[in-house]
Formats: sequence, structure tokens, C-alpha cells
Amino acid sequence: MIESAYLHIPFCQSICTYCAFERSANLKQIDQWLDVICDEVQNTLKQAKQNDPTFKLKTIYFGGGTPSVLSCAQLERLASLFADVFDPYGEWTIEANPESITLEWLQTARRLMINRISIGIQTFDAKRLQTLNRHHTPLQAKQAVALCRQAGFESISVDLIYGFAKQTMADLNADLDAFLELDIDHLSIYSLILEPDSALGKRGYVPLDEYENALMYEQIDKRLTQSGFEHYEVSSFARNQKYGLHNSLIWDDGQYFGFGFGAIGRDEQGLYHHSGTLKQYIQKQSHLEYEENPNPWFDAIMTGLRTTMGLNVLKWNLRYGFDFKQRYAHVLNQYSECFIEQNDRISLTKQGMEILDTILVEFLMED
Amino acid sequence: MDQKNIRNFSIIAHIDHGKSTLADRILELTDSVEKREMKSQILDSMDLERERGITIKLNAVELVYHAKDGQDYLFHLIDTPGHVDFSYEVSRSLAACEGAILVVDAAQGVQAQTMANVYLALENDLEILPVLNKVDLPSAQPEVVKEEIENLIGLDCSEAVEISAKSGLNVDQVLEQIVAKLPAPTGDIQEPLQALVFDSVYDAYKGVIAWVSIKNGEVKVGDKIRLMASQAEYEVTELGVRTPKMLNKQSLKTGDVGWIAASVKDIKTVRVGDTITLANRPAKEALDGYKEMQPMVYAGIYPVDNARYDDLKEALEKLQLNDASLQFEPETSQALGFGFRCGFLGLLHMDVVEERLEREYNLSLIATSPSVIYRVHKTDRTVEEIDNPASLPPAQKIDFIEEPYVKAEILVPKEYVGTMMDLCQKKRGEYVDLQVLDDTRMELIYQMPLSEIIFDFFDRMKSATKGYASFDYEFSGYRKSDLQKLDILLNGQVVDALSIIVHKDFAYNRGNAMTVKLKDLIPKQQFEIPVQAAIGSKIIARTNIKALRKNVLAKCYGGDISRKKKLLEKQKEGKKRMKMVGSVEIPQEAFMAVLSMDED
Repeated sequence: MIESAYLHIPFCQSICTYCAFERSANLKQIDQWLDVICDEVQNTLKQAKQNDPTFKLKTIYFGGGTPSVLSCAQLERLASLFADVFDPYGEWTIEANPESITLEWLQTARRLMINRISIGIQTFDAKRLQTLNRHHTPLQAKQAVALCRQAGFESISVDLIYGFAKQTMADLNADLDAFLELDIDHLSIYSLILEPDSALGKRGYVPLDEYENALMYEQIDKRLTQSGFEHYEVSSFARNQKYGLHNSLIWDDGQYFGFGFGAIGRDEQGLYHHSGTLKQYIQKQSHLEYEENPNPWFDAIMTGLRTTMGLNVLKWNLRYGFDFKQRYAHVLNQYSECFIEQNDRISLTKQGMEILDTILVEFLMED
Repeated sequence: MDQKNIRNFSIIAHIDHGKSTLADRILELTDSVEKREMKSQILDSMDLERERGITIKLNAVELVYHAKDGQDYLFHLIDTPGHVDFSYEVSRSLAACEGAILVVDAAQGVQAQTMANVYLALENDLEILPVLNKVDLPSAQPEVVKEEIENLIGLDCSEAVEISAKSGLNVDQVLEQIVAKLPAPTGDIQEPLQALVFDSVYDAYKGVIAWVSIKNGEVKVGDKIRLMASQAEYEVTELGVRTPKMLNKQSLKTGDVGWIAASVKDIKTVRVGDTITLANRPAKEALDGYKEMQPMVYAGIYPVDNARYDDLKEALEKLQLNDASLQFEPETSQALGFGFRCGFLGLLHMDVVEERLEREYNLSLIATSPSVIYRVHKTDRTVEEIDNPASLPPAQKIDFIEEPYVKAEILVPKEYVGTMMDLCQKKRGEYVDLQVLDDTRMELIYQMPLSEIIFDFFDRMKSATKGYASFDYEFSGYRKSDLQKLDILLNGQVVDALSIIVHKDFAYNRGNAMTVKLKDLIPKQQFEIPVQAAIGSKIIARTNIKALRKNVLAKCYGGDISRKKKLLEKQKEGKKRMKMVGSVEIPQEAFMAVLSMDED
């Protein structure tokens, strides 16, 4: 039974230089796109309700792209489709950019039962915001957080990026100070990784190397932990129990609907996405396409080990019919100092998490 | 068909001058293949050949040509491989003909392999028809090139046809010249059978198929035949020609070119260059020119996964059925485990074998850097032949070492002569001669160690001369050299598969270049890995591969999961191709690192 949904809004005011997601700056297409995605959502939810009259979504996530490019009316049209299936005790997140939100828009979102907001601040350094082609100022970022509070959002998260070319530890500390000053309870902080097809990647921009990157990662961990945050996933920090519920469910071997072009969904058959291009999606010429050789047992490991909760081995064994410890004895042994075993769960030490990708490839080798 | 209406010929050319394209056009014009059925370059039947645009295995096609004199002629077009590695096979297929069409690119002119092929054709007493190809290119200079051919090779070009094999322009005139100018086979059907084997291939149903040119006599299905070099005897089960489909016949007569199958299981008994005769009426003498082919280059080939040793063995055995020049014997390496030391005609041959093993037999392989055969004269006055640097005896037991030299003939535009001489010098070449060929080009002759040629000579020659130089070489004998074994240590351990033999003067540079290259190629691991180069116990170069510090992709939201998985899958594919040596993981390319070192 699927209790989560991700909906992708593939539109942006402008394109960030590090982004390689599905997105378009052609805002004129939004209404046409809305027709198609509303159909998709309605049909899927109708089916789900038919199969199970008590069907509810525990978490919904509107990501992008930039969901805040939607007007209040557009947002309302989309969000109201979920009104009767959203569990009011659940978590409904929307992403927003500081420069595009207004009090009215935020209040609309709140009224539609959206109860969590994730703000793409990225950095408080004006110059670096320019490099990223972000169109807000550090001041706007701070004001955005205040507006969210004013509109009644209790769960607010901020996105930051580190690992910029020539970034110093002092620069990083300044960003962390500015974040801590906001006094909010959730932070997602990513090291800048450039995909070759992003604008910065093509320009030959070189982010910090692995070694400095590692030092920064450790510094972030240290400072936020000291400030009462829990480092509960590779790039996520929370305090006062304000974990991101949607992502936590996804990381815990969860299944979810993926709505709209650019979204990934996951069900019994594995991961799926919408085929073709955004244009084809708008012309209703896109269909759901599943990955070729699904290995959901690996998806579970890949995401589970990113969290301090780790992977529930008992549940995994039952679900996939393998014996985890036997199947992966080689990896568990080779990296024994990196694994922590507690109750039914296996997780990674801080050192282990830093080389997670290397360890994951070892898991994958056993497939 | 009357023997006087038979024409047996090959097409010879420098690589890329359009040999296969011309063959395609000839096939079309003789109505032997429907145009719509034509895959381009139909004679190159293996996928690999088509992909690389090179011809490795020989093939012969029988065609009927309705000439303008109203008569029908039977053509046998015998294809030849275009690379210096296979010059013996070229020579044998030329021996199967009476004539050759020399294709020269009207823009590029005479190249080293053009000359080499012409010499082979002349050695075999062939009538040569010069043809200028690609005359429709804007840069074509047919008149200049004709003069070049007359001056350099001494062939009369007054009637040379100017064609475009690509568009088919004037190819019909080439066919008429084949009829008019090439001689018919001269053999006698009454004489005892002499059939020249110019190729042999293995067929899962028919056994070994020998491709033959009948020089004298006749052979029929059911005849008992004898291979004169191997003295093996068999009964002919099937024979025929290729049109280009395999067509069965009852007999092959003097002048015919076709195939014979006799349920032969071992390709080594049907060697290229051998003569087939009848067991009950043998010819007095074998045809000239048979040579046992000796590999020039040796390398270790190992499965990445040790458990696949038997699969590799089986694959090599199968491949050898089709490739008598491939040699192999079991070998053990401390680093790589069980594998085979394989002998090849040259680097291209090695490349092709490796690629076929991986592609056709789905094996993941590690090839060590290629080596020549060194003659090691030991202090106890015995001589040992070494084809693997790792097995070189300790220095104190060696009196001196000899290595194979080749005579390299390089055709080079005047403005690059200096650069080229520089390169030859760097490759330990010894200047022999410099000839002025014409206003623009010169021919350089050097004596060079074969080991330097097989490293990266070809690529460096091409880049140093913007692709204008061409070269050809032949083995010229063994010479004494001041050679040493260079070992590579990873994490303090000698990796035997990375050892190379180098000239004393180059040891330091090579050692340095090797360590730097390996540092780039070997992925970071959880601990720091020292990379050292050593001569004996003396470390001559050193660098470190830093320990892996952080390797975790930050984002992993719903939308990133498949993207991230793809990245991990890619890393897994890379890792599958790595070999664990001690505690260090080494990628395949590292073992060939020495081939692509830039020492400048």
C-alpha cells in the first residue's frame, strides 16, 4: 500500500547553473501542463480509492523545478486534488525559492493543508548566489523565512550548498552562522556536485576537491551537532524531532507515487518515471516507464544506509527473501569497522557514511 | 569455362585507399550480388572487420563477367588483409593470383604500404594494374600521383584508370583492363594436383575449410589429398566456390579458386602457404613460399575473474581454429593468477584477438603489456629465450641480452623529416639511409628495436607528422642491447605483470612515467598506496596514491534515486574490470599503461 506521493513541477523562473533536473523556463506552458498532470493525479488517486476505500497519503512532496512559480490559483487547482486523500496528521511539503514567495501565496498553501516548506537558500554569499544564477539576495532569504513563519508554517527547512570553488572554512562558517541565526529546525546541506550537462559543468567550474570537501562535511557535522541538531541522514539535520517525514519514508524502503514529468515513483515493480520529454508529456504522449532490471532490494540498501536509523534487516529479509548477512557477508566483513549493528538494524558509522558510494558499489557487486 | 577466360587477381592498397569499396563495386558490376542485398564491404564478413574498416581474414569470390568482346570471363577476386601484421598472409594470397589491381588514393599518393604491397606482388611475378581512386575528391591530383607511381615504383601509368570506387565512376574500365591485361592461369590440368592454400578457416559443421588456388591438376569430391608440409592426408568431403554464397561443386580444376573441406579438425595441419596434392598421384614438389609463421609479440592474457580460466582456455582454443598464427600456453602470474602467454603477429593482431575474446566469448580480460622475445645469454653460457619480462633471470646470472631489430622504411613529407628522425632516435633507432623520392617526399630507413615499434611508435609517428608519414617494417635479426628489467611495486609488493624490459638509458624516464600514469589510473582506496619503480632492489621513482577520503553523493531525494543508481551501476561495471592484486584494486588499463606513456 502506497502512502506517499512526489509531484514534480518542472518549471523555473530561470535555470540554476548547477542543476541537471528536468525543468523548463517556459512558464507559458504551465496551464497546459496543469491540464495533463491534474488528469494524471485524478486518475491515479481514483484508482487507489477504488482499490481501498480507506486510502490516505501520509506524505506529499511538491518538488521541482520551482513549485513557487505556480500562481495561487494554479497551486489551488493542483493541491485541491489531494484534499480528500491527505491524512491531516501527515506531512505535506512544498519547495519554494526566496524571491518568488509572497505572503498571499504562502497563506494559500497553508489553507490547502500544505504544512511544511523547504526554502532553496543555497548560500548567504551574494557573489556565489550569482554564480549559481540564483536571483535572491541574502536579505531576501532571511525575509522569506520570516514570511513563512508569518503564514503559519511550523515546519521549515532550508537547503544549503557547500564545496564551492575556493570556498574557505571561514566562508562555510559564515553560512552556518547565518543559518543558525534563522532558528529553524531542519537543514538539508549538499556538497556541490556538477553533472556534465549542467551549465557550470560545461563552463569547466571545478568545485572543492574530495579532501577539503571532507573537512567541510565534518565541520558541518560538528557545528550543527553542537547546536542541538541530529545528523540523521548524509545531508539532513533536524532538531526537536522535525525530521523530514516524506524523505524518511522513502529512505526506509518506501513506495511512492511519482506524479508528473521528471518525477520518480516506486511500486512493487520497481522505480518508474515518465518517458520522453516535457513537450511530449504536455501532448499526452508520455507513459510510465519502469527501470529495466529492477533490484528493489538494492534501492532499500542504497537509501537505508544513508540514514542513522539504517536498514531494517529483518524487514528486508522478509520482503526480498534473501538472508542479508549471508548475501553480503563479504562486504560486511571487508568494511566491518564501518558498520553498526543494533537490534534488527544495520547502519554506518560517520566514517562509513563518508565513503558510502564505495561501499554501495560493493553491495551492488553481489547482485 | 575455358582456362584462358579465367582471371585471378587481388586488390592491393594502403589502408583506407579504397580497396574494399572497389571490391564492392566489382561485385555489383558482375551481377553477382543484387544491389539491394549489398551490405557495404561484403567481403569483410566479420563484424569486427566491418566496424574497424579493416580486412583481417582473406576471402575469395568467384564472379562471371560479360566482357565487351562478347565473351564471359570467370573472375576470382582474392581479398588481402591490409595491415603490416599480416604481410605473410598477403604474400600467400597474392601467390594465388596472376595479377593485382594496385589502388592508390589520388589525393594521398603512394604510401609505405602501397610500396610494401607492390614489392610483394612483384616477388610473386604478378602483373600489376595501377588504378587511381577518389579522383572525385577536390584534393585529387591524379596526374601528380601517376608520375609518383611511375617514378617510385616504375609502373607504366599511361593507361591507369581514374576511378571513384565510392560512386562507381569508371569501374567498368577496370574490369575491361582485367580481361585485356591480366594473364590467364598457366597451369596444366594433366599435371599432378598442386593447390596453394592461401587461407584456412574453421567451420563448426565442415571442419577446417582450406581456401585454395589450383595451380595444376584437378581435385574432386572423394579424392584422397595430402598436405605437403604437414604430410597429413584426408578425404575430400566437399568442395566448391564462393559467389559470394558458399556453392558446392564436384571438382576444382586448374585456374579455379575455391574451397576444400575434408573433415579436418586441427587447423594446424592446414597451414597457409602449404600445397595440397593427391595422395595417390602426388606432385614432385610443393609450391614455393611456404613459411612457418612466428609470432613477433607476446603478452599475458588473464581472466579478471579467476574462476573463468577454463572459459578463457576454451575460447582461445576455438579462436585458434580460425587463426593458426595465434599461439598460447598456460602461464601463472603472482599478481594475476592463472592465464595464458599468447603470441601474436603484431599489436593489431593482439588487439583483434583480445576484442574477439571479450566480445564473442563474453570474457572480461586483462592483457599485460606486450613483449618481444629476448635472447638472454647467461653466464653459464646457455641461452634462454624470454617472452615475459617477469621471467628474466637475475642480473648477476646474465652475461648479455639480445633483442629483435627490424628494418623500418618510413615515407615522410620533406618538412617532417627532422621530426621523424628525432622520433626514431628517441626510439633507439639507428640511421641507415635517407632517399629523396620526389619533390615532396623522402624515404627514411632505420634499424630499430622491435620493442620500441610495438610500444607507441605508430601513434607517435602519426601525431608527429599530422598523419602524413607511413611506415612498414621487416624483421632484420637479433642484436645485443643494454637492457634491464624495470619492476613496479604497489604497496611495497612487486606486481610481476607490470614488469617491463627497458634500455638502460630509458629506465629512469620510463619508471617515472609509469608511476605517474599508474597513480592516475588506479582509483583511490581506503589506504594510501605507494607506487614505486625499481631496477633490482634500487627504487628509481616513487609516488603515492592518496587514501580515499570522501565518496558519497550528497543528494538522494526521490527524484535522484535512479540517477544515483545509474552512477553506482557505472562504477560497478568499472570495478568488475578491476583486478585485486594483494590488497590493491587495479583497473585493466593499468596493465597496458606502458603503451600510452607520454615521455616528452
